[in-house]
Amino acid sequence: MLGELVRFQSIRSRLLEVYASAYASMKIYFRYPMWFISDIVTTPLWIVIIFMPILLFLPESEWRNPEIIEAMYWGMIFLDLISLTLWGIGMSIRREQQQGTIEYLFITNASRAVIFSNRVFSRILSLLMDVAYIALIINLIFGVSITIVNPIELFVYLAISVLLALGLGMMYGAVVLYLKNPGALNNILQFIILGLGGIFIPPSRMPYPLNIVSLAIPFSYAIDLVRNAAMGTQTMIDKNLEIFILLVSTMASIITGRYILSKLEEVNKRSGKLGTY
Amino acid sequence: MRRRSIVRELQNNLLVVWAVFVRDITFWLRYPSWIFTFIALPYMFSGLFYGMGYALAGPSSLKNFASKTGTENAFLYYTIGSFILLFTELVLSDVSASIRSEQLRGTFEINYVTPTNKLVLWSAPVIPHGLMSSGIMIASTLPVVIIEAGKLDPVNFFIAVMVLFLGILPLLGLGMVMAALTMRFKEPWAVINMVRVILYLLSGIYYPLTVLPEYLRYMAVVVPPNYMVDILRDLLIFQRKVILSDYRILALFILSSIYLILGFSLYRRWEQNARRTGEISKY
Repeated sequence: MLGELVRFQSIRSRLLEVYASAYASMKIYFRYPMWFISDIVTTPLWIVIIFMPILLFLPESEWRNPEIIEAMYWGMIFLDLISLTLWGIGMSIRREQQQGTIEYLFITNASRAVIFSNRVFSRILSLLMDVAYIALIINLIFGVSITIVNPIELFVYLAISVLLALGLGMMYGAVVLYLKNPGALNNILQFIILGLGGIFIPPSRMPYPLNIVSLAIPFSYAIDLVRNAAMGTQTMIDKNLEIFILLVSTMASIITGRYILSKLEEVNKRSGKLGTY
Repeated sequence: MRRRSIVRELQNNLLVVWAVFVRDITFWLRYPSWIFTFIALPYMFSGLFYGMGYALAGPSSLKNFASKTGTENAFLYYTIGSFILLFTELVLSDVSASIRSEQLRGTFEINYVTPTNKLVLWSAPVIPHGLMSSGIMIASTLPVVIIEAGKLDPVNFFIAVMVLFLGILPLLGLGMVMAALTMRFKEPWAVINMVRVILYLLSGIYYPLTVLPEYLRYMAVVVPPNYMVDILRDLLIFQRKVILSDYRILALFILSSIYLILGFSLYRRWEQNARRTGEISKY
């Protein structure tokens, strides 16, 4: 009885932390409406800047090929998803360091993962808007309509992908705690995942041995399942096996992320480097 | 008497520049991971676009690429583009970044009780950052330029470096406009983000401007990196000669004076306004 009460209290307090974190994040996001306007203005421009150098390799007649444009669209969504966790968690830690508030957060008993994921909440809102908005812009620029073959499956795969990216974000956040300046590492990590994680280039089209490296990165399976649910493309390996790999790697990523975050917090506390930046 | 005070002011400003130089180099060396970023990023961008294009289009990809850009050397084409992108990004956001970090650390107002020239103080970080990053980027991209372009004409290389230095001026002017926005709106990244994406779109860093609609090509006339990247590609990929009276160099000079005057006057105005209304201590 007492055990159950303690567990209930613990879940309740964790939910309160999530609520407080999400509330703070949304409050900051809506305090600066320019961010919203900026997203609206810059998204179509980024699409041109990112798509055009790739399209230059294709004959002009292929520039409006729905298969290519749709694959690039889902690549863009994934890019958004990965950067939301990397920038969300990494920059959140960096900002608390710079504002001199990180030590105060560490004397609370709140979950570090929840506290530092606060920016992720507002960025998820922005991601959801992007899914619809980028599709609209692609339709206007390239005349290609984004269709979804299986919306429910797509939603599930995207949700799992967010969790997978969160685990990675926590590992990255832990490294930020240790290394302090996240910008450089963030850019490099993002490029490695983009280039080798099958986000824009499916592993089957990569040269050996890059395709093998790509298969070792869980994001390859996540984007492959997303493409399968959205565009009806063939999966790289058996679909059930891919789902299994994705679920296992998501769990592993979250457990590892939490472990590394708490370990490096301990190391920092012991060495007195927590408050320095 | 007046001459002596001008010399003294110059001396003081140089001391400010030196102090900022020492401080920022210390910060940079404290977080050396940035050095790796500047070495790696031009290659990462180029490799990513090249890989994606090749994966999509197969063996005919380079022919398609050449029909639009005039060269089959896609890797070098993108490396130069990425170089200009990073360079522009750095100079453009440096001034406002230095103001914003002072605001966040609570040290911004303290600078205003010192007799330093604030324009010099806020724009001085461009010198150490520009020198460090362009030095590292030049050193890292030079091997690929030599290998890919076959031979490197030292005169062309010298002109390319001069163009980079000239390009700092209009970008610094635009950086001051951003700094003015930071002073005015406090959380400036949203506005800065918009301005820089528009600049990148119209710069032709990753594609020739001919692929854009005509009205956008007209707008690109006022975008400095457009000329920088065009001259650098002429010098390093096509091995063409660029003379000092080239219209693009002239355009960079004209844009430098326009943006520097605009940037400094806008900054002065909003700074004075912020001091009068007490906005300076808020963030």
